[in-house]
Amino acid sequence: MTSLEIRDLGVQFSGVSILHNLSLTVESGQFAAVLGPSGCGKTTLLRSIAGLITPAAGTIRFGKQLVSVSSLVLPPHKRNIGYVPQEGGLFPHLSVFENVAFSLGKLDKTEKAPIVEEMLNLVGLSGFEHRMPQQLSGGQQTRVALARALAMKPAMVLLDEPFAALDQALQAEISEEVAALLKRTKTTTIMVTHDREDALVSADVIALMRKGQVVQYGSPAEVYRQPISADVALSTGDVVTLPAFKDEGEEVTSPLHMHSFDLQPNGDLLIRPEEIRISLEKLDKGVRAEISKINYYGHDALLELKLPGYPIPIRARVAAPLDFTVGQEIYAHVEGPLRWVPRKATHQ
Amino acid sequence: MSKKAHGEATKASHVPLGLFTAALFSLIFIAIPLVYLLRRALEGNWRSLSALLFREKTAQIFTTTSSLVIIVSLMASILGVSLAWSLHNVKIPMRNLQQALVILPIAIPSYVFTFSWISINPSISGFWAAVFILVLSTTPYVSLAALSGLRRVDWSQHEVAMTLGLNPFRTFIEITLPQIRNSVAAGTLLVALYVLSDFGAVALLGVDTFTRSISNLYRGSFDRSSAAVLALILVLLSATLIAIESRARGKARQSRNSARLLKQPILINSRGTKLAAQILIALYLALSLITPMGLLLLRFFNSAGTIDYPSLFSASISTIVAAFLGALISISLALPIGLLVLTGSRLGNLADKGVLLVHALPGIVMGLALVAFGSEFPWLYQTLGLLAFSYALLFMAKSVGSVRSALARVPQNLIDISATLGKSRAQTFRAVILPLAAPGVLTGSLLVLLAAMKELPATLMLRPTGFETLATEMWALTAISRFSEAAPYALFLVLIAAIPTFLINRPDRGSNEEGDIA
Repeated sequence: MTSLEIRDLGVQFSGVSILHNLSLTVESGQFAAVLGPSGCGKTTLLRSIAGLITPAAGTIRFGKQLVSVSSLVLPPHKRNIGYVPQEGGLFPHLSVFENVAFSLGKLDKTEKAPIVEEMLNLVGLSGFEHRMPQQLSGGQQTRVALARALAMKPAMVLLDEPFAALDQALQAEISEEVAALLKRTKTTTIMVTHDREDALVSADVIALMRKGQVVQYGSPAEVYRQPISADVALSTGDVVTLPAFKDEGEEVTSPLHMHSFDLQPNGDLLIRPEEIRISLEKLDKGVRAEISKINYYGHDALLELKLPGYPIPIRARVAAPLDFTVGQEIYAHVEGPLRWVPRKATHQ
Repeated sequence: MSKKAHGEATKASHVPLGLFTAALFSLIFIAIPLVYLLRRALEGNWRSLSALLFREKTAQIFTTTSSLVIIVSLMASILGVSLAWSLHNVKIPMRNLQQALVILPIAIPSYVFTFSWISINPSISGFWAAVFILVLSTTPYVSLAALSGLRRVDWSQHEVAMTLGLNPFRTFIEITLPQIRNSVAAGTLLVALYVLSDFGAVALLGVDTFTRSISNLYRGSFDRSSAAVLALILVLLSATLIAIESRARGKARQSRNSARLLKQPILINSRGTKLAAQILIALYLALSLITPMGLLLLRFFNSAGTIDYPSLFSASISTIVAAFLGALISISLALPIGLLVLTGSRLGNLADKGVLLVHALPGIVMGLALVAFGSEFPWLYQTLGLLAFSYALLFMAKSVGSVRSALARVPQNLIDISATLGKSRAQTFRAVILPLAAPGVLTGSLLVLLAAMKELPATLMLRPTGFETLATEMWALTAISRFSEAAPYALFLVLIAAIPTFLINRPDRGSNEEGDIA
């Protein structure tokens, strides 16, 4: 397994810049998720790493080997990359065995068989050698595609929204399995996804992409708990953005700190809904609020709260069982470290 | 975005030398008939040529030809759309079988149609007889295109239109028709091209169109450049039609939405509509399939004792061998061109246009051009090779079209994966692209095979001495009104041509791509 280092990568199509000055480092054996909305360039990034498109600028290194610099680009078939696209991309005219053995080239069948067997065993599909791709379920197809990618002992594995086509229940199960397998085999993995839960659950590190650039990079906990902007915060989970004032003493005041907030805000406070605590009695901090709506999800619920003197309702997450009613008056306060971002840095 | 990336990636890659050479080779072959036709036309003495060009007779030929083309196209498109709509929307018994039967007249050449009607009533002749026969034999081109268009229309739009207060007829006119318009236009243009290049029906019915006049000039005079000049006008006319057709086809392609599973219609079950639809279909089948086939069978069994079996079998073998060779040559010339076109290189675009130009050569013109070519290479003249080569060139557009769409349907995705799995471009071509494109390439070969079996005018001009196909035997006997003796040849031709027709429309292959058979 090898590490990946991308420096100042730029990709253009017909004069339109898709990626610019993109830099990213993934350590050997790490599972990295690239998370971003559709159209932000994440698939283009993956295809550049695979060598399927020629970047206009920047460098890509696998370990110490330079695979892409200006016009010198190592073709995909010499990169030793395991690429698993959406829906697996199995060759429809080849059996499961032939698909998995595809990269094994000149070996004869008796030499291929143990490798294929080992790979199918790894993804839990022993005995499926003679099936055709059409005879497999979506989840099985994804797993065969993974076995095919791993059979060539790749320098790294690239997953392009591999679970997007599966139904939701299966998605969680397969993605967990695949992530566990890739971590167990210490495979350097880059997974592109727009599903935040997928990224948070599976990855060692997450790169958040916006408009052709990586805007934040770190462990799942870091990118979740310390978002650099409201926009970025939204890509990893729900967020409540409140106008806030920070004085010289670093004291932050917001509508959740002060009854009828009337200060001139100089920034925004980013709060996760689960960090808003509800109490029935007045504590020494927090403000009075009225429950205007309840979204009940079973395991938990989102309460919409109307704060006095603040026009927009805010949302707080509470664990079930639920004993609140709409119209009830409660007290709300923020728990945990506060994330204050100055006004010009936010995207709202 | 990823789609855009595919396009860029393909375009950026250079054309391998081997492919470039092979395609260039194909292009040179394609250029042969055009070059020789031009040379022949320019050889002639200019005064007599301009006299030919501007005499009243030429204007008459032009008027007759264009009236025939316009009237037949119009009638075939109305009949074809009505048939397709009835087959697609009405709950008639054995719908799939009836759909297959309505397409089947494609296997019957126009001269066999004409032959069967003439042998019922020898006094049939003239313009309107030609209209009648050509409408019957070309309608399937429109039905096929309209059917595949209808299959792509989402029925839920129809349902929404009905809830918005449109009656079924207005829904068809305002919702369905605009969506199948391009497919119907493409089918109609195929009809127009067919009529323009048809030789058998007009020759038997004595209608002076370009093809018949070219044939008469070719056979009747020593000055063969006059025929070449008329041929050039004909090429110009059909080139115009092809330009329109390829544009219409391009638009029809764009509107395709293949990813979604479309809602299919709830079949109309009202008695009146069912009866009307069934009568229409039955009437068409009676005239276009049952009458000619019944007649051929009747004649065949009536004269069973006197049939010249050895000559019948040798003509069948000749037909198959020549057509098979033609298909083989055609597909080997088409493969490099199809690949080259997909690379999007400049030579590829040139090749694409070049193929369309040969497509504009009617059989009689191709015969004329290759006779000119063969007269310079006596060792080639009147050989089986040259005949097969003429088939290959005549139907090159079919094979290139099939190869192209078969190659284009191989998902880029799989080609990319093969590359990441360590396969070079040549290896990917062998292991992924070719096996996936094989069914489409095979369809292309079958299309050429079918067309070559039915071909008459070029065969008459180019066949080796003593080499008789089913078409030429039948033609020779019909010309001297020996209908009973001609019938077995016609019957065998239709039966043999039905095999590729059936294979192309195989029910297990699911719905056909538009115009596959055309």
